[in-house]
Amino acid sequence: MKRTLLIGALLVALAATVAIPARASTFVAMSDQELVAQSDAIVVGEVLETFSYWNDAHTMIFTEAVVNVQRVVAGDAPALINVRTAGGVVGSYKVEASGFPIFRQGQRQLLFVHRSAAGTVELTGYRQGQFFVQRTAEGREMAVPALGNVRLLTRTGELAPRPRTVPLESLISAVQTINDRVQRGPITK
Amino acid sequence: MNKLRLTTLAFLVIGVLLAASALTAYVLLDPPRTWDSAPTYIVDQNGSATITDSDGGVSATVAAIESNKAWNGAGSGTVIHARSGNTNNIQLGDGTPMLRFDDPLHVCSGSCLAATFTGYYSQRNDGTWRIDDADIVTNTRYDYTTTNEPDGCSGEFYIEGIMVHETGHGLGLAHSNVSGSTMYPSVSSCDNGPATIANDDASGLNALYSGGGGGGGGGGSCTLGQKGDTCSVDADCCSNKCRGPNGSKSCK
Repeated sequence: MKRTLLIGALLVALAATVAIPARASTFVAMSDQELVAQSDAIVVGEVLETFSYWNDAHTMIFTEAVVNVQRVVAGDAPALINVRTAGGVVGSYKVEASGFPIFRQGQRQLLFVHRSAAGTVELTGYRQGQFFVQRTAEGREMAVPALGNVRLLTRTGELAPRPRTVPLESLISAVQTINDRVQRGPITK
Repeated sequence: MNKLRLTTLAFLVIGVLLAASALTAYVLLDPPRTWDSAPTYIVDQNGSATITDSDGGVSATVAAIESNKAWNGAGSGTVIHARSGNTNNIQLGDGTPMLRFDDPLHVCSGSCLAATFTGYYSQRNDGTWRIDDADIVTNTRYDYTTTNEPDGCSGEFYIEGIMVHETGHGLGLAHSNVSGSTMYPSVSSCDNGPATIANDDASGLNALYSGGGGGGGGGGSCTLGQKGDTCSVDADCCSNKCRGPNGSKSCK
């Protein structure tokens, strides 16, 4: 009985301590259908490099990730695409908004991308459209949501359910099923 | 013996839960960053197109940001100012924090409701970073309202609560896991609760601005010296900054 109590207490403690606080920004969740329909392409690729710069008006620092496209899941995309996100470091000056996408060299990712009004390629749904591809000890590739602790809101402002880590092929299959009902144009670098 | 073990176990559980509750409280931006002095947000004088009060939500936003129900009432003195003004030249790095009801920087569209970008560049001796600028942009795709709107609220977001939350980011706070706090990452339509900070929000702000991380003038609920009051040592002032020649020092 006492051992049961002790184990129970430890489980409670563990459950409490793993509830690490979120660090996020304010984004509204997109449905899977919206995510696919509003993307010009969905690709799996590796980040070859990243670079940051001030825009021409010197109002904002942007970072671009050069992604080597290894697999086009839906839509059409060239072998290399530059995916842009706001924020970054130029010299010693840093601009950051928590919850915005971050790219690191060498990461393999599944990305929902679209061409913005400015002509740049960006993630659809910010981090919601970004999954890290990680291999399990058994060699299975998993798609891990890049959202991390970022929480999305429903359209009425409540917390939306967290997306889950799923096998990469399952995610690709689901995306392609949705994509079969969506028409889109090609995306260029 | 059994009672002793059970008592020990009970204390263990309580202790761990208390420790866990501390973990799930406010969160600071990483790395920690603060302003050297209370920033003055320039609130876009053009207001929001979807807000139908007398000035598109400008006055309501300014009042909400400066209110003692928000950050200035946390206990660290006046940590933020706001006024209406021209924000046509919004840019990161110019040292002037601005708040827009739209997105001229083209960084917050689609699923982004509002975003605060902090610019920081130099590190203090205590390891914290100095915020140089923090601009806020808003996605015009969503509908906003204020408590001043004559037609009430229907499926809209209160801009006062949204902007108190965003300026919390601008002051150095990340999201909290404490439901009901201003920095909790959830805001229901027609709920202006985030315009009033909770104890957790105040604790987070005070961790940044009380006696260390910079920021702060007088005011708020602090009972020590306010800005301009005579003082002898730093501890006499809400801002923890007593400056000037001996004999005529004042709180900064």
